[in-house]
Amino acid sequence: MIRESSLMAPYIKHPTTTRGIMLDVMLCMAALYLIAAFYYGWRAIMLGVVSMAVCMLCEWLGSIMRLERHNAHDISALVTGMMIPLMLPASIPYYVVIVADVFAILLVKYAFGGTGYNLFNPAAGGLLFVTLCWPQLVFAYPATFTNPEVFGEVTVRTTNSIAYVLSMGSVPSTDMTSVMLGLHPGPMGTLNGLVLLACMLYLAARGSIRLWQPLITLGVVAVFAAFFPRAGYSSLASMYYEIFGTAALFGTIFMLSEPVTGATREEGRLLSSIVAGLLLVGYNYFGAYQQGILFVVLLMNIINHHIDTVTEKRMQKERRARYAKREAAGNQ
Amino acid sequence: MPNEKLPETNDHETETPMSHPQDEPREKRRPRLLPGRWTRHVQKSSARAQARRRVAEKNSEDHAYLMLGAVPFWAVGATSLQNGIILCAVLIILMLPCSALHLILRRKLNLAEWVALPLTVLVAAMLAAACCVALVLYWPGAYDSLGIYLFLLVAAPVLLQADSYTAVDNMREFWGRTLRFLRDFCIIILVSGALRELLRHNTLLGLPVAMSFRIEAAEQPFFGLILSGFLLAVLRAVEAALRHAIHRRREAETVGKEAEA
Amino acid sequence: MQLTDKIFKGLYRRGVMLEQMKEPALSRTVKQMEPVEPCESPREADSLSPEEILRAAEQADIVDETDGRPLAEKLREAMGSGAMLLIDAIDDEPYVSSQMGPMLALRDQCAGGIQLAAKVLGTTDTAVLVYKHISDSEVAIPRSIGGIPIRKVGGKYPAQRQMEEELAEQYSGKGGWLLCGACAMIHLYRAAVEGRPQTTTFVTVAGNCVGFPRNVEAPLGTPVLELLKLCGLTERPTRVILGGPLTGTATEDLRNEKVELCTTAVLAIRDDKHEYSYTCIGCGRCTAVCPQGLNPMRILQELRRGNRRAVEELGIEDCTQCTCCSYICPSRQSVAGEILLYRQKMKGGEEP
Repeated sequence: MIRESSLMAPYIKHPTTTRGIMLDVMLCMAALYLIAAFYYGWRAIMLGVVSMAVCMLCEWLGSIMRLERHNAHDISALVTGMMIPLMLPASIPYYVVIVADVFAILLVKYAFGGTGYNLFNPAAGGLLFVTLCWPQLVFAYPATFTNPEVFGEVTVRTTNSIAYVLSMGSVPSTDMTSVMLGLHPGPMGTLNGLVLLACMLYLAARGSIRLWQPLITLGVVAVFAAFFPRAGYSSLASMYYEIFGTAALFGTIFMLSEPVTGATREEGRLLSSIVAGLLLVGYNYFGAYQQGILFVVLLMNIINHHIDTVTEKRMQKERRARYAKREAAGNQ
Repeated sequence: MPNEKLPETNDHETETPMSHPQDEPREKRRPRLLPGRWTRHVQKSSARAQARRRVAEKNSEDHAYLMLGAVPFWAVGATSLQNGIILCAVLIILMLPCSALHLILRRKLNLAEWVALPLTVLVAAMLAAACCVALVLYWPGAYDSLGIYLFLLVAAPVLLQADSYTAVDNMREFWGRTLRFLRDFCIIILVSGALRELLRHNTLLGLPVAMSFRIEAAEQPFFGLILSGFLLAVLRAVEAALRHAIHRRREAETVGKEAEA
Repeated sequence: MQLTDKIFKGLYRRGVMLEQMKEPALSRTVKQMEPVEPCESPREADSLSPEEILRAAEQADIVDETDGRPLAEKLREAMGSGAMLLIDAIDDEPYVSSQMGPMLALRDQCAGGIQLAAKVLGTTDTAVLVYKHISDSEVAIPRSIGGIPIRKVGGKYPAQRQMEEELAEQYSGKGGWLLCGACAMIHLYRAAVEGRPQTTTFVTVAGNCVGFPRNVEAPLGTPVLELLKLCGLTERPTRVILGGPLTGTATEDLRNEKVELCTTAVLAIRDDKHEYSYTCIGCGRCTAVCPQGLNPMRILQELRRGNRRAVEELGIEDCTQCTCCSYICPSRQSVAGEILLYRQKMKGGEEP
């Protein structure tokens, strides 16, 4: 059935489609996979492939369970599938990734009504679930260039990330350049700060995210890091470690700034990014887990709804005031 | 589609079921959430059927409210199948006599609520204490693993039940509601307890099960919360499907009778 | 106070930037479908009194294409008030240049008409408004035509509406302003000086399968098919639109659909690309572009739920049907279309 409304104006459309937006994000994450493959070998790529396949399968299952026709052009599940392994170590067993995928798509996304209706970011939900279920697996990172086995049990020795060292209140031994280039143990997609910054610029240039949004969130984190370093190092080093050593950069670019679960209006986004920064600082300083960003993302998903309600009410009030003013001017 | 009128926001709240004339045009459809081909159009056959459906809807709302009181038991109490079975049994022992007692106090003796309710809770607490003594005597390990939840059971469902059925006058409906609550509580607590024990320790009632998949966090409350929410959703979906099937069969029967007549 | 004013100003500035695609119709001369015989005894424009001009406009049945009201009525209301006369040659929709084109091609007549209208209003304060962001224009837009300055109006797509609102605020206390169409001015000149009634209207014939796009001065009631034949089609169009691509209406019946007074354009567009629609992901682009500051995303959501009260609360009445939201939507939801349907239904429900 052709909807009557689709035959009406406008007859030209902006070239950007939802698929295009998703493909942009996927392109950025593909760059991160390349870096991860360079550092950890083929296992990084395989994790991504498996995760994407499982997500597509779950998407299909979910739409069957909701008695809807599956929209084959909707690739949001692939984005979720690509995002999940990037926040996990390269040595993670495949079953953990699969559980995260199933949880993300079926429970976080389809239980609430499928694409567009999800209350939470599916990737963040799935990741948080496996983080809480298998913390010792999720937080054990292999060193770079150790090449874990592509399939089967991983025998590579694993170590702790910089985020863990920071949360313990001690000074990381990694030098600054290695931190920037990602030559330190950590989640496989969140390491290379340069590539992440390039992704941020690309997404901002394509209009997928607003550049000031991650910058404000990271700015709040940086200011707190400068004034209250977690251990005895200079404030500059503290800022550097907090932003490039943890998953904060990845999370703010790909999860907090994305428009879908974010706030709708500009002022709401501003408020949302400041609150996100404060929450991130709070989780980093007082949280029990080393990667606070996932908690922040899920919390922000809820807070954004309330921010939206508030900004919408405010906008209504302003609109009414404007019309009242104009009517008064017209009557004179 | 152009002739379809959008229904008022709260038309089902303001109008009474009886005010619906029988010859109302059938075009007036409810807003659709699913694409058209999957939406089942329930024919509004008569005012009585509508009233029946309304009562069922209200019941299921009350039911959800009751279930909220049971969530702590599913989420925190039921960490193993053994705990689930005990909680289940204790609830049955508490709930049935207490419900009957409360009903007698309120309906037969016409006691005020402030007298009837404490009396019921008192009896419930005594029953719980008896259960506790029995457990300590005959199954010592089990009582320790339950912790506070055995005695918490006295308060939550009984109070919720007492609170919600004051409005109910129909005996059959009252017992239906009590039994439905019991049924849902037991199913979810047993399934949730079994699953969590299986995932955490790979055992069932302490007996090892051959499995290599283990989730450490299965014992934690957040896992129980998610699991119980999911199970409750499944249960309600099954219930809705059953109710729908019964409704359709009934309609078919009435149509057949009309045809015969 | 200042800050909130600024926020409001920012509100007006919302909208979408469109590629204008006015060439080559804009740089070509205006084609007259029926040859016009030169007038034998033209009247002297300077000797006409305001009352004579008004009478000529009345007799010629000139209709202002900006708002569809008779020009004589508009001028009579503002007669002698000294209000500023603004000439609307803003074609902010793509392809459409049916005001700018004639204004530039027949600039003597246009300037003459403006001077006549200014005389009626008793003002010397006039300006022609032209859209600023026409990047592909091959014609240099002059600083003035016949001594009347041309002012460029910037801003995003619903520029005309936004400009009107700003004018309303600026001139509310200073004698007011009057906005008239450029084509109406040409017709006014012809009526007053040459004594010709308005029997034609200016239409842009364009689109990606029109062979020779140009502005046409078509007699009223010309079938659309004839206009398309005149300019030639290179391939079969999938859609013929009367009006601009953002506010017009599609038509199927080319033989019987006729050019009317307020038809600005006839566009024949071929669109082979199949657009898939997606569910709304709530990206908020529609909210960012809505010139009225509405939240089209929420409105659509509540419309689909059939929640009338919520829809009214979200300000559906303030929608001006600029269709920016539908244009920008990456999920290809026709937000503006649904809003229009709803309003039509509401209107239909109220009248009987």
